[in-house]
Amino acid sequence: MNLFLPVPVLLPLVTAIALFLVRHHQKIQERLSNASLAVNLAFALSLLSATAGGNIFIHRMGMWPFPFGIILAADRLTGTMVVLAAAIVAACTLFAQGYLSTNQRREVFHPLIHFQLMGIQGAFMTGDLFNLFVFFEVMLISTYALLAFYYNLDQLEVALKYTFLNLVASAMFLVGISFLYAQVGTVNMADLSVKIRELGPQPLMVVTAFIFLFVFSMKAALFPMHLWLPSAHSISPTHIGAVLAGVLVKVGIYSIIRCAWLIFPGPFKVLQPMIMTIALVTIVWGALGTLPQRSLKRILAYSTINQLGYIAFGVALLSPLGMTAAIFYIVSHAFLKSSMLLGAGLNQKLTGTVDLDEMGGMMAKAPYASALMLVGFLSLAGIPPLSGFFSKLFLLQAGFTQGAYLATGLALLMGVISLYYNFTTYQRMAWGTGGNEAREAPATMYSSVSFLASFAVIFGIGAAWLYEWSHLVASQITRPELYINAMRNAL
Amino acid sequence: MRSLILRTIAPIVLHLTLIFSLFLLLYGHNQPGGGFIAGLMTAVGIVLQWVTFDADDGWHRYNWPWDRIFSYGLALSACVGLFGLLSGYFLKGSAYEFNLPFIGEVEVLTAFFFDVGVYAVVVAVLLSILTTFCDRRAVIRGAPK
Repeated sequence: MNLFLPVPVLLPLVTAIALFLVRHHQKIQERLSNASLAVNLAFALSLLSATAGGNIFIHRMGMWPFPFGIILAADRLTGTMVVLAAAIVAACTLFAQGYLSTNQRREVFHPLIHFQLMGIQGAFMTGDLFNLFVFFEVMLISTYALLAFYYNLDQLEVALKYTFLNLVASAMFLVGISFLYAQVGTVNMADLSVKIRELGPQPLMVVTAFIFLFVFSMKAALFPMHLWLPSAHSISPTHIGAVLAGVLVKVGIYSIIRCAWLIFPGPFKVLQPMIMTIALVTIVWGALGTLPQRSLKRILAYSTINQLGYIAFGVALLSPLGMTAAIFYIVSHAFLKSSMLLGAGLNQKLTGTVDLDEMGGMMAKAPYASALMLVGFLSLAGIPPLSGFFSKLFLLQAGFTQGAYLATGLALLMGVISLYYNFTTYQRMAWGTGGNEAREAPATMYSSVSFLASFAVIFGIGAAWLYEWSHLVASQITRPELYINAMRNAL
Repeated sequence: MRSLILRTIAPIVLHLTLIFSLFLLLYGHNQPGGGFIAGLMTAVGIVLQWVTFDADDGWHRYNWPWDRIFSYGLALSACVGLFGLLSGYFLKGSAYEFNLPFIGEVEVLTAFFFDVGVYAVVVAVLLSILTTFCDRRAVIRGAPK
């Protein structure tokens, strides 16, 4: 497995180049893209099963020795996240092939989505802070282009907003890396962890950790930096929105987890009250933000912010139990929210609108599509036995066990609002009488939405199994010495 | 631009920049230099031609298929990385020595081909971005006239 570790980075890269070269032959391009995504998913699954035993795989690129070279590493968390990315991006690409009509600049969509996949998977695999920055940039640059995909003025505005905010974040990221390098003289994550612990508690290190928290919460759309998310979700093409909500924001959360447990365990303990506050404000803000919306996609976007608050809450507990709950939440939410955004896109294809008041009566017009949405809404609202219920349950359990009664109580209270907005949204969408006639949608769109929505049921009924796995993941990342030793002893 | 000085100097400067960028490209494995900076240098030389000999004239002279060139460059770099994977590590560099008549010993590093790929990517991406920006036909749909 060590030899094949670069595959999640290399395969999308090579595919993207090939897809760009054959961009004038649409059939070939589509088939090549699908084949590559299938191989990528298969590899991700084999990586997951290989990491399940607790092995941490290391690939030293260019054969440079431990703290100097660029290192790819895969533990259970990486395996989980890579599978998430591979599955969701594959489903979204399949969806896009039905969603886009032939003249809509498909030829650049496929190469871009593969570059984006390369950035995402690279960010999950890298064991080096500077390369995390590089993969973030790969991911962001393709996202900028994908957000402005239809080339119209609204989308350009969204893309510009996203670009500016993320340019600031990237600049801060570099500043943070240089702060770190000035203090400890390394950028390898394992080496950083050791040296920061040796350095002991230092105010400047807390400031550095804060810079990284700021940068990653921009990606993860936590409270003060969430402003880009609603318009990016609602105005960008649906499949891009689904990748954003499902995977891209999780890259930010993933990086926060790595910082909290591996790189800066000490400074994050100091910052804990702040992270907790950010998480709670994000929960409240996201829940209240859904109430005045009329567009289905915007409601889903605010609900994403709300859910990200819950995930950040789990991370902010800084305990193995909270981590387990957060991992469970990440996995179930990634599949759930991307299925719902794709479902919204399916509805848009069927009715030509995302406005809830114009939609109405979807239950009669397109029963299957609205049943898929119903599964999603029920799960988001937290109705057992669907995955959304268990993810909230474990989180609240972790919070109460740890004695954070006030914060957990607030999170629970906001759950009531989410119950309310999910039900009213579905009511407005599916019941009543709507103005629009339903049109046809290709079968690939239905199948990709069904594929993702089925996980809401699978992770609901198989919650014990997923919890077991999340526990395994959490038990590995909460002991950073495993990761450090694996890197030190790498051949 | 109609400046006589610029029109006289620009072609000479083009040759100088090209030679210097080639020097940087060949020099860059163990010394300062390399594909990236050499690519920037070349692109700057060509852009100077555009500025000097009006958009249209300079354009036609250097209107190569840049999009193709950068994808080939990227492919070349990726292939060098994959070649390293044959010996067990991605991006692993290796050196080969040849004894050529008249010239003597020549050392060829796989890193050089990687650099050439980077060079092609940098030149082609910069020039294709600039061509797109300067393209008067590009219209954004829905933009106010």
